[in-house]
Amino acid sequence: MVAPGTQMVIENLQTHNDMRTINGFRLRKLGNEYILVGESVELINFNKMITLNETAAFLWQSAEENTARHGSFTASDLCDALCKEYDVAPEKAMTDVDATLHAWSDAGVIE
Amino acid sequence: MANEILIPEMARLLQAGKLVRFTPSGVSMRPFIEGGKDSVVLTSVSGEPQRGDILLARVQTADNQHVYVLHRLVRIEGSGQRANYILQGDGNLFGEEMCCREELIGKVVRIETADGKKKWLSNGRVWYWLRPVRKWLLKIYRHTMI
Repeated sequence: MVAPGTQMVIENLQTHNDMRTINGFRLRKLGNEYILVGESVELINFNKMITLNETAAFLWQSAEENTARHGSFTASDLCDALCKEYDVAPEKAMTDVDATLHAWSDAGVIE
Repeated sequence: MANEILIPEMARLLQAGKLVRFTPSGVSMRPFIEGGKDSVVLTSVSGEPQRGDILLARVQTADNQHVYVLHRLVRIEGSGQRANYILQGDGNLFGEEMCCREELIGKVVRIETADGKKKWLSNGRVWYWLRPVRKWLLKIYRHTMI
């Protein structure tokens, strides 16, 4: 069931934009956190290391899986996956997904 | 993220033949590395490191703790498998650290300022000889360069 108002939020966030994870980034679990390491490059810059919490790591796996299977993913794909896996309201899930995608886009790990 | 978690990951990547860039913290490598501002690029330690190399190493402190330092190799005691590597921070007036070959993680190949410009990678030998007057040189550095 979609909570009232969700549709509007989703539209605002341009969920239909197709995105792709960039090849060569590997998700590594270090202690309780995760990092994305660009292992395809020769020089790995720890100054720009992307750290992820457990939820963000889950989203990354989901984004990667979608990219591998369908060639791309959308924010709503990730939102659906998040709501399936965690007990979270769709609006909250969408806000988190959107913030995460902005961070990834800035970091250059998705396109 | 804590050093104890990040540095083993750096070690893994260095062993896989990658270069690693990071910004060290602290003042112990002044005047050559300004902690929190300058970045260093590391490569794995292949072959025998030379006196004057700046090395990332896991060392034992006086109270038997293990910590990671990025300090200059000032001396090698013994040879072969049992050699001990003695490190000292350029900005330190006293105190040395010791480790064995397996605890040497990486070697600095480049020092960069915050805007990405290369800094002079001195071999530090002259600086080592200047130890008796380091105190004053560091004082001048703090007052004029920072």
